[in-house]
Amino acid sequence: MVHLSKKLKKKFSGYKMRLVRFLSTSNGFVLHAFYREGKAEKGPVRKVFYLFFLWIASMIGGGIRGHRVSAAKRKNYTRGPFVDKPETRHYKRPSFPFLAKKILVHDIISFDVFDTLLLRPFDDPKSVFYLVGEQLKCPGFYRYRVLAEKQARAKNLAQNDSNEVTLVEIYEQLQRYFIVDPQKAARIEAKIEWELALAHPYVKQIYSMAKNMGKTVIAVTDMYLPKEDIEKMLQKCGYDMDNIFVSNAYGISKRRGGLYEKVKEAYPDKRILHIGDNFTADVKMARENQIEAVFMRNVNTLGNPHRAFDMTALVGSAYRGILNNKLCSGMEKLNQYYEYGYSYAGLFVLGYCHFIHEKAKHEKIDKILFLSRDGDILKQAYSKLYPNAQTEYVYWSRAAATDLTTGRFRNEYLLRYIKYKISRKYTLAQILASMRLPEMLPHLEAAGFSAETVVTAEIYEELVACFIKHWDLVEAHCLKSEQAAQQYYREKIGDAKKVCVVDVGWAASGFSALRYLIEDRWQIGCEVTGAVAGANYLHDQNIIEAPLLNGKMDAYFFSQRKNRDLKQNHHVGRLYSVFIEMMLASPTPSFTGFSYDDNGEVAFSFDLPETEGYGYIKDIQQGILDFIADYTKAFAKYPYLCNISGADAYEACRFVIARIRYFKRLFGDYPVNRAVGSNGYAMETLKDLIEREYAG
Amino acid sequence: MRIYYALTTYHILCCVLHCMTEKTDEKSVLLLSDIHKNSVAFLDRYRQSGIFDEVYLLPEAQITDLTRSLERRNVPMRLILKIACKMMKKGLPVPVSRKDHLFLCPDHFPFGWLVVTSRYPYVCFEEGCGVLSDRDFALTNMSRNKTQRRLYDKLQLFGDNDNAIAVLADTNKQKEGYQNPKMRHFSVVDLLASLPEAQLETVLSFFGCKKENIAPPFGLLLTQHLANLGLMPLGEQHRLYTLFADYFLDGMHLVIKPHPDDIAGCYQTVFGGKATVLPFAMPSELLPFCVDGQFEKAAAAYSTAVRSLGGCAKEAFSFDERILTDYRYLFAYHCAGMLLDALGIQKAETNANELLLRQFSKTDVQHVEGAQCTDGTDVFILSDLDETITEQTVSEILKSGDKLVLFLNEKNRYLFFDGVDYSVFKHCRPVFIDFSNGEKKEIYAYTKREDIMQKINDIKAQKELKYTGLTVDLHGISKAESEKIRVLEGVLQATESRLNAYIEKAREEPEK
Repeated sequence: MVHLSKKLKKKFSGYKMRLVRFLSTSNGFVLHAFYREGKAEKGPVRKVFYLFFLWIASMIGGGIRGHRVSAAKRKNYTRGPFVDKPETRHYKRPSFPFLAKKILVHDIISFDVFDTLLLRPFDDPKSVFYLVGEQLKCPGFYRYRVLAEKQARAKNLAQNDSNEVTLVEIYEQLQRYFIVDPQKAARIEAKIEWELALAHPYVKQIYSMAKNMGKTVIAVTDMYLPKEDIEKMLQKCGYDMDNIFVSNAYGISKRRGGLYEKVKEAYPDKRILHIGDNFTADVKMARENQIEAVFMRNVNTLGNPHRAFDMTALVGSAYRGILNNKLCSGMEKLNQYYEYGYSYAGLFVLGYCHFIHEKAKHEKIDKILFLSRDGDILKQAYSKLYPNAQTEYVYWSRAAATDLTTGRFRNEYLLRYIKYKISRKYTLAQILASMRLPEMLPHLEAAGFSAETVVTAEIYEELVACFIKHWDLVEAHCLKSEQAAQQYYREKIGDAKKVCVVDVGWAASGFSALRYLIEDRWQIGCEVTGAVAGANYLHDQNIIEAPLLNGKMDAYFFSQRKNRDLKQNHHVGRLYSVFIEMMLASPTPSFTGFSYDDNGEVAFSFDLPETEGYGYIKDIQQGILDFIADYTKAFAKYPYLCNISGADAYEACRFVIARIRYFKRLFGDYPVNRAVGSNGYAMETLKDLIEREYAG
Repeated sequence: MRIYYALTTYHILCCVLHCMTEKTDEKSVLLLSDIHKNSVAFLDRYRQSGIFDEVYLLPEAQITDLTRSLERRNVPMRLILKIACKMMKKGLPVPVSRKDHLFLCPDHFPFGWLVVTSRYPYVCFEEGCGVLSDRDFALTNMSRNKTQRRLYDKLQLFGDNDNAIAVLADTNKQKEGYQNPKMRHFSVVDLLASLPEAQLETVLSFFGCKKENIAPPFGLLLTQHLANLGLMPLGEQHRLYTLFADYFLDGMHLVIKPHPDDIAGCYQTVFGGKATVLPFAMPSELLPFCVDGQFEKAAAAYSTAVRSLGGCAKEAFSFDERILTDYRYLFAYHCAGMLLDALGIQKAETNANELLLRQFSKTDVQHVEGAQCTDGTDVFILSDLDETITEQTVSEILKSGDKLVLFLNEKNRYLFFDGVDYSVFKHCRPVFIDFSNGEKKEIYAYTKREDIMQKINDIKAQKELKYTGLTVDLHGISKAESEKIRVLEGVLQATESRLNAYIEKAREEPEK
């Protein structure tokens, strides 16, 4: 009866979890709201009710008080990443040959400026105010600046029947909140706008076509910045305009149609084509003024519904801006793996590299050792970001560490080679083969076992006792490998006195083993510190508490002492760690150990290569490197924007790792070697793994 | 009144030359089709040239749009023709009658349909140089427009109907033995050559070009509207031509002549103002008159236009449609070509693009299908783009005699290793191709001759791709790569283990 009750309870628990998962993951709005606001909800019943409530709320359009979100925001929560095809293939823009024909038959080609000719590396133009506020050392500047513009426009409308204002007029209005020289402040804002301005790659191509055809190219914009500043920004981005019409110079706008009349006055009897991103101002009003128009959809309007939003204001806006500029401009058709690297892993790698660099600077670290395989892309990115830093990509793995540290971490060896094999019903012969330790067999036989003995939990302790009794055999077997490793690491460390070992996570076993080997065993005379992306050990949560406390070890995303809410919601059982590791994957097999070749040189051995996935990985890595290049180029004058918090980077990752359909679709056939580290062959696909883990 | 009708740039040139060379007192009118956007764009210039008394646009685009839509609704051909002719008649900017002298270039568009159905006598120009006797290509193009193709048969167009009193064509360019009683000689090239200087200037300015003052040596790049045809995105098209200029027209001033339909190409921008870009709306027949002297080289991707350049270029070459894929691997071909020359190879065979190899090397390279090299061939250049070639077929080649095989390895298939025979590594040498943007590629050479291996190891060269903005470093294997090699050896062993595991698994699970 008790057994039946337990069985039913387990079954019910399974259903409950499935319901929770259905309610939370089937709807993006619910997922985000639950994650953002429902963290305090503890009990399972309350959790289910809360989710149900959110689900209903999302169904009726967010109409329930407390969860009301604007239409635009709601969109953000109701769309996820593109699953079926690459994002860059979703947006249709008029083709170049089509536009070329249009341009050919017109005399004047007119462009809108902001979000058409020029892009900002932010998804919201107002984000620039954070940078202006920082330069003016004014807390709350963002709000003041928004209010001042609104009030300046209203004032002008009342006085002159025009809501067009200049930047100086806005700053004069801002005196109400913050005393500053309007001329000086306006210059600062214009300078920042100039520094951040980027050319829209698609529109730049159209501009080039027009110029190559010898057409007159003009810019027409509703903007508060002075014409001279706009001209400078355009020149910086490679545009040489024949004329610029700015609304604040005439007190009339495109939106009301007056500015188009000015253009027509300047170019009588000419065929004019206008290209812009605002449907009302650039298309409708242009057509009303007998000007042919082409609608060039705003990159941020297209991209934002598919971006993570639960991020800090400035980094979040920058992240989305960079993504929108690249993926929604229409210039490139990319593949989904590249987009995965660019959209989700790029911010993580950039933020993590910056975090490591700051740590290295702060702790006066001489050299950074990036552990294989996750360290491959980290090393590539780090070397590009900080070319003068001393870095090495070193071969390492848990499998290699187990053999190299038999002189200290005995239990790791026993767990890895024996205990973890119990569920797979391995025989002693198989286990000794994976240990490459046949000389242990006579001792095991003397203890009453045979080669055909299947390892079970019941005999585990007896086996352990036998291995411990003959531990000298184990150590002797690993000695050659250890000598080769020592030679390799001595060469890699060189004369560095302090190194930082970088890994993705989660138990920092690489750091622990290397610290022991380098500092104690080999006595290289070099201090070892470590960094992991996340510290989240599945079996023992407190495994690296002391190193985290004494500063020997740091975590970027989360640990027991940092961003604990992220840690609690990082569902290892839902393969979140696997998906994050996939972001840093390397197109090489897993390293298994060191040895010497016939010439006495250090040789390397590897596990079975998962070659089927290497094509994807190369694309992911390229996406990551390109994101970093674009981001750092855009904010070259504002390097503090690379100081990306672990929470922001994790949110960008979480946006995608919580969507199982995405991974099934993209990486369903990605090969996973279940017998990794044992030189065994047990390949399955990621889809199999997902289905197995999620079925549980 | 003499009424000329023209569609494309070449057709306009025909009309211009005819009008200028066959002077009469009659008023001359040029009717241009608005299907050709260049005509719409340059109408004012054509009018101002003074060659024709009047120049008008014919609203043919809307007629062809309508005929397509009627065709989709299965409207009978007779009715479509009737509607099209009615619309054409209504849209005529000048009245056309039997008394007028009509010159149609060509007659298979709506204005031609109207002329033929109205039974007006007319003189027809051939559609393109030599097309009168060789219509296959033109008809294949025409078949995309069903109505037009069916009307070609029904109305006996290209001057085959009774209303066509003569067909003006270049008799020298027709197929051998071709006879057509209506054919009269009309050669654009001959006429241009015979024009007095002043008239030539008029023709040049009509098409918006002038005599370029360029110091020799200069090379010519003829582009095609690949993006317009949907063959590749515009960015790729630009890349193709910058690579072409870098690899084939290096060391000379670059002159670019865009195809008349290559409107979207931004060559002035892409080549950073380092090249002279001629107007796209200029017929290529005018090229010899735009520069003083001969072009050192004239290159095109796979245009036939390059062949009709005559004596205007000392060397002219183009490739076939394979170039649309192979241009991505020009670096590998360049490297292979350099190796062939460095090793002094006289003859070779390849399954790759032999036309490219011939451009990069003095070696006589012959193409063979698959990897079936003929007996006695000592050198083979192997492309792995051909999916039918496997490691096993390659293994056969390697085993047969003492061959030098160059693996272009475009798709990184490493065909020299079949997963079994490790001895090939003893005879394999990579040549690394390092780009200044960090990209790395390599081609492999297989040979049993130590002296050749040494030469390959010692190879070192640099190529500046000034238009692409890259530098390419080619070099053999160096000591710095020794750790990399040991790592690769480890990876190779692991790969072998996996293959063995597969074999083992297959053995354990006999055929189901």
